[in-house]
Amino acid sequence: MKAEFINPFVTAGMEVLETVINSRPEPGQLAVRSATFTTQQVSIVIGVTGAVAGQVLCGMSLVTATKIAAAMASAPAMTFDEMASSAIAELGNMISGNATTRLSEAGYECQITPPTLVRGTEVEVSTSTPALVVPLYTDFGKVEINVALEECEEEAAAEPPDGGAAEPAAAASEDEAAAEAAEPPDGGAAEPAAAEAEEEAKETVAADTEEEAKETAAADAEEEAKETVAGDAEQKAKETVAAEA
Amino acid sequence: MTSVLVVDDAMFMRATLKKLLTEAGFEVAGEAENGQMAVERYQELKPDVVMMDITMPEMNGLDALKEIMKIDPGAKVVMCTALGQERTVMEAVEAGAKDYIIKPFKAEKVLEVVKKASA
Repeated sequence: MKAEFINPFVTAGMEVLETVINSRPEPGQLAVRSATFTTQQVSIVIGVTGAVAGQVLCGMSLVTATKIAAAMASAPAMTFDEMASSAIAELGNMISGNATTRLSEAGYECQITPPTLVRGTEVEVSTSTPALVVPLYTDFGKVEINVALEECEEEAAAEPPDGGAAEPAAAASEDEAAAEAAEPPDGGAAEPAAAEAEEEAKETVAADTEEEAKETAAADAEEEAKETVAGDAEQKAKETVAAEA
Repeated sequence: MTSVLVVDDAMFMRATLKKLLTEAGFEVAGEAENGQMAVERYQELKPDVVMMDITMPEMNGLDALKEIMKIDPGAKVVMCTALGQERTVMEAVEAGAKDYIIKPFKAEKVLEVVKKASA
């Protein structure tokens, strides 16, 4: 996964959260994680289709989710009921919608699916690539933005109507093939074990992050800062992302 | 009194828009949680303005907009969505949308757009 795919989600996450809770979040340390399982009590799962395809998870604790929902509803307090769940799902929709708008402006035309709210940790979420994760620290607690996206070359080149849906399936097939290749106990050099493949993927993405973050994140942030009216806030984001890189 | 049909798959967003519009003196004639339901409710209620989300299950807001414009070419539909892609905005405008609001929105912006659309 390209490091540049997460920057629009971090920027969108910060802007949307700032708007809905009236407080600017601070981004934390970028990390790589297998996105197979949810790690937070409340997660919003959103699919991305198009020139970039995959899954985005926005995770947070139940306490944080409840506080954010109350702020969105302009309510002093709230229980995490159906209305609060809907508010948090809408938060994920707004972050992903804004982020995919930025991705489209960068040349990766893509759309999102309606959000699904998942309660509980260790819930399996099918993804075809390791995820890049950035925590956003708000006054109400941590919101984790977890992005597992891959570039869909066919979609980018030809833009077939169903290309977005086809890509994850193709990627899943690649994973299955990799898993099958790992099964023989005497697997040769050309057939790395699944664990090794995952480790390699993590290292590759981590390397990409280190190498590209300085150029990509800083360049993206600089470009976005020029385009955004809230120049000061964007400059802050740029400095933070660049510093982390 | 201007009547508005609020279409959004998120219960929270429907409730937020309903409260905002009602307190500003508009009548929320009805709600719909997907595009198909929006088309049916439009035929039934004939509202002055439709507030239409785009990312929804069953039928999305763009398809619902096109269906409504087929039924009533004079329909006043305002898109209200998190998607701001130029292609999506252009598709909505070409299909007949009167305006386009990107979430998260300011309350004043929604009221201004609905007033303008209903004028």
